[in-house]
Amino acid sequence: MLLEAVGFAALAFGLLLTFSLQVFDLERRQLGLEQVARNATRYFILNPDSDLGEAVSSFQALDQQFDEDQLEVSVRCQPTDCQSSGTFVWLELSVGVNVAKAFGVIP
Amino acid sequence: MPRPSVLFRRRREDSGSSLIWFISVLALVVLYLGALVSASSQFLAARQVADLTEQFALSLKTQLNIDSTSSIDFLGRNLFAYVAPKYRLDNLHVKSVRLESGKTVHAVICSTWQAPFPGINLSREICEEAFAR
Repeated sequence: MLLEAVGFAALAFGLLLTFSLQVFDLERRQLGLEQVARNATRYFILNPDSDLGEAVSSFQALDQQFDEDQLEVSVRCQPTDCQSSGTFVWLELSVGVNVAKAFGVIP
Repeated sequence: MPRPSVLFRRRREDSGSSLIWFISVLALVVLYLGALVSASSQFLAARQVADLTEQFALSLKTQLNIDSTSSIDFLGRNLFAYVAPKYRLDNLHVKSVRLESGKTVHAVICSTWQAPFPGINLSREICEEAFAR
């Protein structure tokens, strides 16, 4: 009985701990990715002559958890010109299961 | 029919108590994991709504600065109609959007969070507000 109890507790709480850590890690990565998307979009909106891809790379470099990741970057502008005043800019970043979205209008 | 020995009876009692203990701990583990995943999902949904609201207010203010002849309702409706379908949030809607003191955009956007477990009807309305000047 004691052996069963200790064995089960070790197994269950081991799984519990692993799963909990994975959930929090996923959450941390999601928040980090949203921050990168938000910061890159705001930077680009204030500097429309800059390259949005480079802005993403710069902000990605500031977050160590994405050091070894290759972010997928998707940019859409409406109308198609991404530099004129009044243009709507949409940025979507993804890595693994995490997806982050950000948007803004160029002043 | 021979009577069972004391030893046999004891084994049977032990086996029963072990099963109850096992099921109780298993139920606790499942409840804990469910609560953890739900809390995490709700937190991320709230963050997503907060981000969307902030960016919506800022974009709307920028559009108003560029085109001061259009009404805030018209611009807000157009902007939200373009942005909302890109988010996977249930019942996403603008609760209110108005111009305060003629300069500050105040937006409130709400969404309904659903528990990420099929068959469990657990939901909560999340509303976030943002200002842009």
